[in-house]
Amino acid sequence: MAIDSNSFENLRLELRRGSLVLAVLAQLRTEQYGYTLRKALAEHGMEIDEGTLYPLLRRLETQGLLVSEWREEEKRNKRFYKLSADGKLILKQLLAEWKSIDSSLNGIVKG
Amino acid sequence: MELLERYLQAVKFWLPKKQQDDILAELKEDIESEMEEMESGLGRKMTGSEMEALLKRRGRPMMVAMRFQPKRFLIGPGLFPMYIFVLKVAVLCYLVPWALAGLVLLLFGGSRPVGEVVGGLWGSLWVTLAFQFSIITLVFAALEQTHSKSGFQENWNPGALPRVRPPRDPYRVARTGSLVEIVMSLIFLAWWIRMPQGFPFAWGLDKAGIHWTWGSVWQDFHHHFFYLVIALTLINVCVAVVNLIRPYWTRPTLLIRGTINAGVAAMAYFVVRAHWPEMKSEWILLTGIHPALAQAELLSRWVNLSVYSALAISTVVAGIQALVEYIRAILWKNSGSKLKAAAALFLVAASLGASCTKAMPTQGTNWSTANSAQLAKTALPALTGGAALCVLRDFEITFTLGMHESWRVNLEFQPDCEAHGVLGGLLSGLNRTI
Repeated sequence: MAIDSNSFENLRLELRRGSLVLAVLAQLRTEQYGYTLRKALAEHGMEIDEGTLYPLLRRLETQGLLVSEWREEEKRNKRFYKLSADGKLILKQLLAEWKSIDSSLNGIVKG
Repeated sequence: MELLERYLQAVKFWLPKKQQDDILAELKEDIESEMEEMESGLGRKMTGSEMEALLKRRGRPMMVAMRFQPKRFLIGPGLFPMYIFVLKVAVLCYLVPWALAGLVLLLFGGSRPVGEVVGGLWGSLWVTLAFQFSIITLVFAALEQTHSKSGFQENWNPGALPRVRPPRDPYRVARTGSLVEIVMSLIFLAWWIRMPQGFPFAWGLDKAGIHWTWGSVWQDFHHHFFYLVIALTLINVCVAVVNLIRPYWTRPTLLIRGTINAGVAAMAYFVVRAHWPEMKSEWILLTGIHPALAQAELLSRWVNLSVYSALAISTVVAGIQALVEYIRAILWKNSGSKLKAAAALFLVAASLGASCTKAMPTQGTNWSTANSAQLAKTALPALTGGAALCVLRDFEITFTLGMHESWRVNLEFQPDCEAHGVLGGLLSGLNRTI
């Protein structure tokens, strides 16, 4: 049976979706605004489009994991995000979980 | 910049009021940052087409706005399978009676043009289906809002799941069904033969001094088809006995059953057709609730109308059953070519249709023995031809010619061809003669 050309892309996006939250939280250990955050993630090979990033930032802020403030920089108003205290705790737990998954997967893949 | 403002205005339209300003400010800032970076790379201002390309890549305003909102469902994935199931059941429950009523009207519609009948039915179908769809969707949308709180997904008992059903064999006949059929057919036969003398369950009426007679439809039916009904019922009993002993449909039993049903459909059709004006006047009288009608007369008229309606519906149901049985016999366990099967079915249907039209009495007149004779003369060859085609499509005739072979006719049979024995014997004789 021929594999649908979209199948890999859909599975890849599904695989990345969970990791994006971790990448965003980790990147926001230092304060950044949306556009620079996007660029920084892309430089690390985690490209994320603005249509995904901004709703995700809002969701994480509503959950109390991020804090944000509007500030003027280079004559333009920008919204800066950074990890909250709760966000730091959750990031630590998520990183531990990530390492555990990584180790389990390595074991499974190597057989 | 004007294009950017237009884009932001379009996004704003789809955003919730409370968040509009905040989201737009951030979106504008992000787009401006991207523009700034592009312009510094180009060393000039962006052109209109470059700006258009940038906005196009970001997506349609409505889609951009939707991403900022939580996922919402009218009917969520938890209830969706049930929603589709209920819709299918509702459509079937409506479509089947609708199709039956439509066929009755088409068959007996009389002077009304076919286009008018079909148009009326088609209109009513869509209105009712749209109404059903709306109501079911509204009910499920309401359930979607409440079922997560009701614990519907969590409160279930695995022990209450239905038992595993054995795979169904479409050719198996339930023995209990055959037994019930035999008993019911014999009871019907006894009643049919006794009908002119009275009706067993009506003794109470006689004792109470209520005078009653058979309606004209029944009398007509009984008079013209007395022996045919007895013959068809007896053949049906024989088929049921065979099915009781060997509970699997075979091609001959399917063909016989199809022919019985075709016969029932034809008889009911001619009687209803001949009495259609009578039925219409009864309907008009009763639906108008005529005040002059006494209770007893009203009852008798309703009974008559019910008999007419039952016969009209029987015509269609028996006709459909006959068709299904012929199709099953022709497509017997997927043997042979479907094209031949379709051709055979078409020939049978066309011959039957032509013969029925020829034999049909003119509207308003009663069915006569001349009509019976005409029907028998034309319909029987069609049915026999159809049956022969069903059997014949099981083998192919090939002629083998060769230096060391005499002229010889070879018949290649499908494995389950019932005609194998008879035709094999004939073929052997033919080859000996050659």
